[in-house]
Amino acid sequence: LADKTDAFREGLKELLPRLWRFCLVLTGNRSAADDLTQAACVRALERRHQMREDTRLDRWVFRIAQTIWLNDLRAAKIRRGKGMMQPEEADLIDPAASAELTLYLAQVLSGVMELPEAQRMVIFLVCVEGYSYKEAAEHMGVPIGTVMSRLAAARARLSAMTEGVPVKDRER
Amino acid sequence: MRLAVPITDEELIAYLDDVLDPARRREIGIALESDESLQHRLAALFIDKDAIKAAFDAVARTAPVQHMQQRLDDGWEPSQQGGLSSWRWSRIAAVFALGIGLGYAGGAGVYKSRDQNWHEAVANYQVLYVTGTLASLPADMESQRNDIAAVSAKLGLSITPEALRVPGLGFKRAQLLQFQGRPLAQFAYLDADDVPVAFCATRTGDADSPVKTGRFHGLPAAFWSRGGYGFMVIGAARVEELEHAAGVLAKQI
Repeated sequence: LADKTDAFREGLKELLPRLWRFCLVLTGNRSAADDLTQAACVRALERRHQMREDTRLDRWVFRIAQTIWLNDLRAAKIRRGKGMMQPEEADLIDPAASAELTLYLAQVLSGVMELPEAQRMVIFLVCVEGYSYKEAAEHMGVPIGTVMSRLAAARARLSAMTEGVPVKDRER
Repeated sequence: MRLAVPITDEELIAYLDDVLDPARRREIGIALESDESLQHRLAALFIDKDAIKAAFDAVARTAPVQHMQQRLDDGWEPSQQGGLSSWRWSRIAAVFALGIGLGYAGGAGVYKSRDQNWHEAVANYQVLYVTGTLASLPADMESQRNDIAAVSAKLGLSITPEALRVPGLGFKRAQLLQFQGRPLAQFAYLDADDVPVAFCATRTGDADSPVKTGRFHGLPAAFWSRGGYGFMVIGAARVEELEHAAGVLAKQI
């Protein structure tokens, strides 16, 4: 069991950058992402015995973070009068990250983060985390048709946004 | 060419992502050769997926996770010889969680010094509690009694299940945490509105003091000292409720 424990801890440690990024996509806010990452780790540790052998750690922990966000933190944030989460652009990309991003990539990032929450998540899961439509549907607890219509709506918005950006400016 | 079944945007994105069934894919491919408006619709759904991936990978590389990684390296008690019971496991997880709370005060990523007082450390931990953390715990009286006895023994203070009864609060769990190497007992409750409330105790060596109220990291709390131990009731409930619970517990313990 000790080895298993260690493997779980190591797995969680390796996952932290991606988990935090996932939380950032959910919350649209860096400090809320810190809190959510932390809460998801705590809960994952508390419930690690419930994780099935054939489950991928990353997807299981993402699911935990999503549940905490939907059930608790978002509701609390709205209750506190902060309204629906709109990404705070200045807060989103820290200087270290923006140094790495070309103008085009920064625009792409803002474009995704400005999407409505459900569209933002589905684009992130499919394009960044490599989920299939079916896996994204399972993660979000919605029918696959809903995932596809959210994807279509999100793609239409993102496509309109980058329309007219010359290909040479897209180089990175 | 017009298809008998109109092509939806959902089908077009599946076409772009190459996950459409082969027969429909062929139909759409043929239609695209001659249907200009369909070509425009397809173009309007095209996105630069590589750019999206690259942008988010850059974000992940700057995730402020160093302190948390450090905690996962250092803040973990080495496992005991042999197997760990789930009881013991959850306590170790809790100690780890408290460590995270100390390192990540308020989620701002500011690493606080270890000499902050235990009230703040507990508050840091308590803010992570949500109804769901406690609601799903089984109400197994026998194991609760055992847990309380184990925590009480470790703390060096006699605390019985009866002494922990507070009108209006449903007892959920006893946990042994630790703060600066000293045992810290946490008894978790849900109030009538399902708000998590914790009653905590640790040896402080402080002089006796009556119940006072205050706030730690935004959470209201009622705290007191007696016999060299510090006690606190804390949670996102009304301060009057916490003060009342503190009064009851101070009499019973």
